[in-house]
Amino acid sequence: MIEHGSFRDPAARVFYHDGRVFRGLDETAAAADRKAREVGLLDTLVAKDLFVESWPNDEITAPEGLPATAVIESRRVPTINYPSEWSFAMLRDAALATLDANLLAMEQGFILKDASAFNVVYEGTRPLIIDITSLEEFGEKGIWTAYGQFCDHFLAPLMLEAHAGIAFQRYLSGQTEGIPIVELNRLLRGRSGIHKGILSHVRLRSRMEQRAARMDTDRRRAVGRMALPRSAVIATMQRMKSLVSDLESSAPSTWATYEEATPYEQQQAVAKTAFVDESAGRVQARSTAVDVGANAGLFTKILARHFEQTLGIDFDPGAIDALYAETKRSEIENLTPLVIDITNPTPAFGWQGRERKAFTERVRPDFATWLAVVHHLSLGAGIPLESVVATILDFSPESVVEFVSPDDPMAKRISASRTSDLAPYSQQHFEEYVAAGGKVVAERQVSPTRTLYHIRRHGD
Amino acid sequence: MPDPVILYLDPGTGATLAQIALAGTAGIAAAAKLRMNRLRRKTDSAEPEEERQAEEVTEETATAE
Repeated sequence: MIEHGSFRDPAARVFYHDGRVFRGLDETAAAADRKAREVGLLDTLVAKDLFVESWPNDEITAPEGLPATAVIESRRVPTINYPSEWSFAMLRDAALATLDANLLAMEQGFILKDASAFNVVYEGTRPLIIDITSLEEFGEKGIWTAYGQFCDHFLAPLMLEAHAGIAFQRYLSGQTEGIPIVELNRLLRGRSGIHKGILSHVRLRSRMEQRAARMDTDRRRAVGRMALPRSAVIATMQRMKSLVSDLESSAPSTWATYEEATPYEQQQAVAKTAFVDESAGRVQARSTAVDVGANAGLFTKILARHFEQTLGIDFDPGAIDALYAETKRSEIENLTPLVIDITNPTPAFGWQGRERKAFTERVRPDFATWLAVVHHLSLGAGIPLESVVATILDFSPESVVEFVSPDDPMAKRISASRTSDLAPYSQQHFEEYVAAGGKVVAERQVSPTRTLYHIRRHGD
Repeated sequence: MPDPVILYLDPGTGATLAQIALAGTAGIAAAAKLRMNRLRRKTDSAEPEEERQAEEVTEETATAE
């Protein structure tokens, strides 16, 4: 099966066979790959946790119509995730990984021919470059071809959040080429535009884009032949690394301190923790778990003890940023935090609307937890309870769901400003909807207004 | 004239010009710093050896640009 999204690099096309990932390389790409292996560059990049492992595989032939000079297999990472699903620190670390890989490559006379943020995937809390055929020889003189792309994919969203205080996720969602620097130039007017790097990478670039637009074909060709000495390109990358490292988010977060701020949640935490732990222990399939509405990740970390990989998803980028930092600190290697709004998960997008895949297509977990989420969806976002339950049953064969009764203080607060009638919302309705598509394996009341259910889908 | 239309026509030329200009200004800055240091060296003869060596390395980088 040929990967639909890999058409951008015709020299190395991705295909799948038996659930494994391969690339068919043309003559030029095969030569570059062979040389990068010979000088030990790919080994170094793998050893430094920058590139995913890959190796030539002579036993497999590329499908008809694909380049077939060489076939390279690479280790399949558990879940593909996208830049709009990362928090600020995650996008920054992915940017730094891209720069580090480039600097290591430059030492050996190579460079990465593109700098798409989609080439990076998080495995646990490690940003890994999966486009293993993006290395090409640089020589003594040349240009950082991917400079413009790096700025649009990484620098622009980071600067937007650092200097304008706007979380970048919704501006990257559905985008294949990041945020154009020329648009960032207009967004960062006045005081927000007087920070390090704005003049050199935003204002200057915008000016040059205007100049380029007025150039005729011959002048453009002349520009295309321009080159810098290797040392100058390395210096540009090093300065970029220092600039990116210094960027800090200035976007406000509403939920990042939720667990600390509400003692009533903490009282139930012990009972909830025990129930989640027991339920997860009963699940047969152990591949993937998702904690929906992960917040600070209290329950996500419990799931990580039971499953090969666990995703903690939350709509609040601040909460995910905190969880990312905490997961890195505690050295949990199989937990990936992602910014996902479950009421609007990442859709499929790009060329023909399917170059990049929908979140629900990329992630099919064995188990999911929906703790303190359902009342937010039904009473807060106005999604009918019946549809919420159907979605939960569809998302994973087994799940733990917390039902919060309408009398709960938090439930009352959420629905306080609602004036119109809502779809039916009660514990009785909840249990009816569950019975329609699954069965309750276990249940436990953790407070007068809150009950946890371990649900198993019919047929699973 | 909106910029995105321009970008659609040609994504590479502007970014290349910016990169060359950036490397140029960085080169000029490094060379200027070097000249300043040389001047200071003439006025101040008691300069530590390591500092002089460090400047020589900078000089190589600057002339390469």
